[in-house]
Amino acid sequence: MALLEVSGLNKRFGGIRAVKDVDLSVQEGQIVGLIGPNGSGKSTLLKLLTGVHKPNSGSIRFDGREIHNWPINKRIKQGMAIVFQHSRPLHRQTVLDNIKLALLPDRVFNIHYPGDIEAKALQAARLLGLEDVVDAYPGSLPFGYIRRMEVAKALALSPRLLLMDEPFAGLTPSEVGELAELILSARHEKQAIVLVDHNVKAVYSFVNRIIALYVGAKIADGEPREVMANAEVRRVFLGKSMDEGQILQPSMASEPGGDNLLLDLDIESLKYGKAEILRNVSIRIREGEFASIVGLNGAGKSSLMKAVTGLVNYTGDVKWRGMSTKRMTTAQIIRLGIAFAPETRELFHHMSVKENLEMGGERLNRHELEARLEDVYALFPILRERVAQPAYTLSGGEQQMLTIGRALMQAPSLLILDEPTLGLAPVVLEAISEALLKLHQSRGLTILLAEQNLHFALKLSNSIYLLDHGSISWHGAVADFVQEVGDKFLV
Amino acid sequence: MQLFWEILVNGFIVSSIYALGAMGFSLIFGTAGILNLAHGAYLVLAAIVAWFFISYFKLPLPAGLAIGILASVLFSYLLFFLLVNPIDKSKRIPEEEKAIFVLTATLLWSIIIEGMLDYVFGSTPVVIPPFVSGSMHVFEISVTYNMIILAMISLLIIGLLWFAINRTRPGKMLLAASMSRTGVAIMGIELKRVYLLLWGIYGILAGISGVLLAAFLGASARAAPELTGMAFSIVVLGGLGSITGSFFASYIIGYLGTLTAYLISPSYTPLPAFFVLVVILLLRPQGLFGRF
Amino acid sequence: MRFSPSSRNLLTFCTLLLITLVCLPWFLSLYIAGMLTIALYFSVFTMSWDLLFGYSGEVNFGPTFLIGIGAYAAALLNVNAGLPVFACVLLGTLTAVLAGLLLVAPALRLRGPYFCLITLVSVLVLQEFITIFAQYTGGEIGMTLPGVLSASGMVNYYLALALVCVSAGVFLGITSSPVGLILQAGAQDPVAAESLGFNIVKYKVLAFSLSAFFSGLSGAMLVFYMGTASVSIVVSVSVILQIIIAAIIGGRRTIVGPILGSLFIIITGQWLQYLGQLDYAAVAILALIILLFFPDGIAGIILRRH
Ligand SMILES: Nc1ncnc2c1ncn2[C@@H]1O[C@H](COP(=O)(O)OP(=O)(O)OP(=O)(O)O)[C@@H](O)[C@H]1O
Ligand SMILES: [Mg+2]
Repeated sequence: MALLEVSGLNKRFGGIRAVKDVDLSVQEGQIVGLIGPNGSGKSTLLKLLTGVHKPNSGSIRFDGREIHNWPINKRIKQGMAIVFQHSRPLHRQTVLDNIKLALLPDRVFNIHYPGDIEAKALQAARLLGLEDVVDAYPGSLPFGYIRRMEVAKALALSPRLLLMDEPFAGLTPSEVGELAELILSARHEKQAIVLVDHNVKAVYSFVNRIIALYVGAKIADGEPREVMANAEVRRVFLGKSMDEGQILQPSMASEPGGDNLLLDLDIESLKYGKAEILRNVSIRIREGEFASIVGLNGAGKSSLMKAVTGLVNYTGDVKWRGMSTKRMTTAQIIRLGIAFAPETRELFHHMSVKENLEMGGERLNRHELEARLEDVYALFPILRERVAQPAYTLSGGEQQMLTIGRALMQAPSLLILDEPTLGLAPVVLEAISEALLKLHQSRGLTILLAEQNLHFALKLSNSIYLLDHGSISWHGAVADFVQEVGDKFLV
Repeated sequence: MQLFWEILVNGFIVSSIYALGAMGFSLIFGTAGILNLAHGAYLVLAAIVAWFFISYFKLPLPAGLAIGILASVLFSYLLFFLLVNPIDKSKRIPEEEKAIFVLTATLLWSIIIEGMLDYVFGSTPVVIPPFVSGSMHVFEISVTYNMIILAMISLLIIGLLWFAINRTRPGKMLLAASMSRTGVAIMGIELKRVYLLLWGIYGILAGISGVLLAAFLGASARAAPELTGMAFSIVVLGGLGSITGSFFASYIIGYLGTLTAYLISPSYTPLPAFFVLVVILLLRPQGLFGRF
Repeated sequence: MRFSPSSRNLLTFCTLLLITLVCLPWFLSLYIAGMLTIALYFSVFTMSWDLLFGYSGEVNFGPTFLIGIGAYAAALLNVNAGLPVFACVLLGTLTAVLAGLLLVAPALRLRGPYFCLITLVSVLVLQEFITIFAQYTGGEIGMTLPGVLSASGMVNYYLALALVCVSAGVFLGITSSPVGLILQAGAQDPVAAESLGFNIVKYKVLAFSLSAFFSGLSGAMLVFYMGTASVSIVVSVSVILQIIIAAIIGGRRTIVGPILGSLFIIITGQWLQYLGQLDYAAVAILALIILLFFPDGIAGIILRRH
């Protein structure tokens, strides 16, 4: 008997059919990859399985029992666990307390902590390489650690069915490999896993079966190799990217035209409280350049981007065309002609897609605004379909597209992108690469990119900065990067 | 039949003034995410200051009203600069608890304003003299011109506000700022300016509604909490952050109160409104027109 | 169990506070001891509020709904049914617990500000009912109770202190136990907590019944101490304001904080009485200063948490 047996599952949000007549079954011990383009209903499906959403129709049998109208906690006790696409740590508790929570039984008259909970929680933390940060508060940790903590919590429940929504998003290739190994080693024989991720390579090497969704419906289910070769899957999800698995072709960016220095950055130090995040970082970007900053999680990339846009304090200076921006507000810096798509997205959640984009084009006249809107819709067709939907109801990937789209609406001379590939399907990555290259080549747009996805960064940029523990440890052209430091990061 | 017309007309006038009274509260919540529990105190402040200048210094009515409104604007900026902004910027108050800190601060602020008003001007209710005299006969009942003018001004201002928020750029920015401040800043919009505008508008709105209310019902420092409560109920019933919602909610609450007062007994006035409020919220947790 | 430095501080501090409170009446006039007795009952109100606010994440704007129901149920039984004081207090407390359970459903369904209003409305409705049924409740004036807790001021003081100790003990126990952690998890993100297998409803029920139990008990004892039950003592909005302010400036999520906050509010209120009408305003200004410059409250200043 299958551990999980889903049939005829449907979920509608207003006019959108997020999940359409899905049938699937998962056996004990199976590791299933769930793939599909952005907005295809993967997260919704996982949320239906755990009970965060209730289906409009259909049946979910877990362990032989019909559970489709059980509350969440009952399903968890029955042996499910979920890692959400968006992390939800407790901010007032330390990492260790967060993990302890997962180990507690659901009993109201539970006055004492079980004697061994401390040890167990520490062990769970160690398993995921969190031993150094157990006493830290999640708010102070880089993204990657929080993702790992979420995985640690889910594993601590020792579920029979583990559901993971993009656990690898935002991690570098080496970190992905590490985390995948950790998960597999912590796993017990009979545990089944359903994994959603856009990192095809990671999914491919991790799972023994793949299910593909498209517009809410199942379009393929079977052996990984088969599914990856399926024509429809290639068309709607993979695009041409699979042929590029082989890492490096020379950068496709054109050489910068002029010698005009656009951005001249010298940061002596950037601190949060006592912790020094950046030290002696210098970056010079010429007009028409495409520069990428790469590095592990927590290396300080996002902080660097925030310093450039005046969102955090630092010592040192950032000059724009020779003019110091140190005393400027964020808004003033932006109005110099910089657009920023932050990692945290900062969308206007209760505004529609269109309203969000219009906020980006706030300083354009009506005519330019319409033209820009068309450009963005052409780049991300799904946004056109979702124009009236409030931003918070978009899927993770759709939100990312909206963030980038909103930045493009600003008609900038410098575009700063922090992790633009986070949670995007390969086919969309391809669209974005093409669009960025086009903007870069034909309109001479200068781009500064902070990115974990090395393939993406290397393919596009003409100069690379490697950020390591808050300092630039290497900088130069792409070709040299591959030779000199490549293997360390391209595992 | 006369009763019917009386309820209809009086209910309409009361509701329109309630609606205006709730607007400032609705605006500040909908855009800055702040439950300003000093709202009632602002209404009363404007009314008492206006009354004071009119009756002691014998200023002409419009000048007195203007000074009352000015006082409310001044205090509105004080609230922003002394309390809201520092709490917002504070590194020691956790992000997720800032709302409750601001809420408590406005509560304390309200007590301070009430205390000072009480101390300086005493606690007897003040009434602003009617704007115009005379009355007319419609539908078998007589209505003063003053009441009609009050209701008209209220509706006009609400209309303007609705337009300003939903149809103008600054309005959109204010809304956006309530959802993500960083988001607004990286659109190249100066947050500080947005907030100065917001608190200015708030001060004016609260000031105008205060003097209108006092011209209709009278005002005293003791009434401040009740006024805050009224605005709070209207805004929540309508759906937090929705001007349209607050508008309709005012009529529901206004008419329910008037109906009870006329048909049952004035002493039961608030009960049906409370009942409706609880039922609606349990059925529709985001209020009638809430975005969320 | 591991003792962090802050919990050791807390322990020392609690002991010191307790010793002070136990010895205090020997050095004080009857009048001041009486005032402190009220402050002690008041601190139970505040602690109960903090359990809901600080741990369970409910911004309850109607603590006096629970307090008032406990107090009035007890008083009505005493006046109209002539039950002995002990039975009245017991039944009043149970009624308050039932009232607390009534709030669980809206708490689960409504977002912060909406819940805030519902609880505020519950108090206003209670107030209306007290006025409407004035022939039983004494309306605005209140009712004078035949029964008293004790005729001796000392006994009354120590009764109140005992109640504070018991409730603080229970609250400290609960909040430092796994239940406290789960409650906080449910408050910060209910879906995430459910996804770790916790049935949040159970914990909310527990939090509300405990808070209601001690609010009601303290309310009932307070009216028997005062000898009168009236809206201005146990129901009115100004009592709510004092509770909320006392909890925040005392230091939320500390249990001792609310005790300190309550002592502060009641004592400064008395001291500043010579300011006449400005006394409330003066307390508010002091409270604002604490709020802005010491956001962790009085307890935060003393205990220096992280
Ligand atoms: N609460 C909601 N209200 C309205 N629409 C929603 C809601 N939640 C999701 N949707 C829509 O349902 C569709 C499926 O969303 P879902 O989050 O399941 O996609 P996904 O496959 O996980 O995408 P991604 O890879 O980008 O995370 C999306 O188009 C999204 O806009
Ligand atoms: Mg998703």
